[in-house]
Amino acid sequence: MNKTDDIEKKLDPLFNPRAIAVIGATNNSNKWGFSTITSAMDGFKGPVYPVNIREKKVVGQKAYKSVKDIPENQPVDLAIIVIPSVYVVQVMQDCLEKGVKACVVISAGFAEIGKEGLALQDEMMAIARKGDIRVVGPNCMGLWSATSELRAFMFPLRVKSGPIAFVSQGGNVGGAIVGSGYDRGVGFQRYVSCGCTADIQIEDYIEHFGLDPEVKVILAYIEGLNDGQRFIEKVKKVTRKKPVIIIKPGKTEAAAKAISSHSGALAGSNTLYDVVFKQAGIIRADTSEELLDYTMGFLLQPLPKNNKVVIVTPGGSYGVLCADACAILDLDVIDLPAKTITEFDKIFPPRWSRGNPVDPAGDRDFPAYFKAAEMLLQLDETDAIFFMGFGDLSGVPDDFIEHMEHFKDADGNYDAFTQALLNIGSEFPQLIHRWIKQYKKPVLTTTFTQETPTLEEGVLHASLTGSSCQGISRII
Amino acid sequence: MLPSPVRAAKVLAALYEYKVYLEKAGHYKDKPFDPMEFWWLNDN
Repeated sequence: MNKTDDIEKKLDPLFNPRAIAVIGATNNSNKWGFSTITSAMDGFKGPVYPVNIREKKVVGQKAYKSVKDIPENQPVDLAIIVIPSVYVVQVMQDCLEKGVKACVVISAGFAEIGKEGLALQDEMMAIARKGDIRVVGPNCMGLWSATSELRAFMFPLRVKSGPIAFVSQGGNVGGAIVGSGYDRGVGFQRYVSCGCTADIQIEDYIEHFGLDPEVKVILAYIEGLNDGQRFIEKVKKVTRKKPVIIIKPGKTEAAAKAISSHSGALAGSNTLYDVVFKQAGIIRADTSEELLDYTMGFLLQPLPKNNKVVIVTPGGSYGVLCADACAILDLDVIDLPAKTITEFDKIFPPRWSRGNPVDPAGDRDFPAYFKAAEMLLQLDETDAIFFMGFGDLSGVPDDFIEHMEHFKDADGNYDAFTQALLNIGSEFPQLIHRWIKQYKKPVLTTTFTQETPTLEEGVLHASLTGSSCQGISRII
Repeated sequence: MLPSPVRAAKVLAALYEYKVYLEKAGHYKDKPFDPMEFWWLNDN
């Protein structure tokens, strides 16, 4: 068996189990065992066996005192363990005897609490290794698998299927990112809250995701690594095939201390992580919002050939913000070629900026903005454009749209400017798609809407509203 | 929340960072640069 087969076989029972047992399942809705069993039963098509030492039935299903009591002819591939940590070692022994192939250990109280917990974790793992049982966690929240619609999770997870795979050392942060992804139309093929990583390491998950043809972008939230060298070697191979985007907190001593008590991991030197991530081709995001922005960028935009950009803006200040951000980020806001300035002199009023950013200074001829953007995309000198201020009107307050009624003339028609503005919404995504396909260059759009951009729209655009000063200070 | 010009610039910078990495890693050694190689909408 080669290494590729090995990692696929190793993790397959986690993501495609034939049957699962929830150990610690209960009817008591105040316990995690209740939300875990109800989540597990939500979508998964195979058998779900509740295991509870006292209750005979759990959520209407026959419950077993031990996983070993589940009849022999009914194999269990995956056990979700949600019981106090002191009982986990015995339960792992039961799983070994039952022939369980993988366990998700939600229970906390292991390496993250120190020496005593680490000893318990080692004891649990010694049993798991005897049976080659793969272990997620402990101290995790569970996992999602789109292929089996499996929510092996400790609470109902808002998630949809899609091209992303995500491993998170923080269950709450991970769940929130998956939830934000849901709101933005970003779907997940796999999501794993990996907790203390007693067995399967973050790089193992990333390697596995790298082999999955359904996965286009890989995300991770990492607090610390058990073996940095192994991580780099494995992830480097993946980043040559698909983008890997990671949030790695721990830039301050306060964060490092918090990480140690949360996941038991060592935060490590932030500068070192920066260097190593760069060498391995990992894109580092600072916030969950940024993580999803980058994700959508990789899904919806082509890669730029180089860093030469032009900004087209209906408002001077947006152009300033964008030019400033570009310069800080080493994107080259190029001087417009003389021939382009001459061409734009023909379509814009004399007051236009005659430079980059291209600012027609309030010109009401909307089609000219679009014409200029397309002309810029045709230039060899540009690798990408920012096209700001147009697009979806869905976030504009209804009363503003109603107010536009006043712009109708005696015949009930809008003037050309207002009509063009109203027309833009529905046609805009198709137009941007056409440009991207035709010119094979990124087109970054921003709109006046306050809505968060969604993947369904097929266009990456962001709200022009927001706190600009905060934005600039955060990237400096 | 970042204002969109900054968010958009950061997205483009991330895309470019990845392209530079691929180039250095020899990804385009035996094949020409294809900007649409990772474009998800190729399949959708």
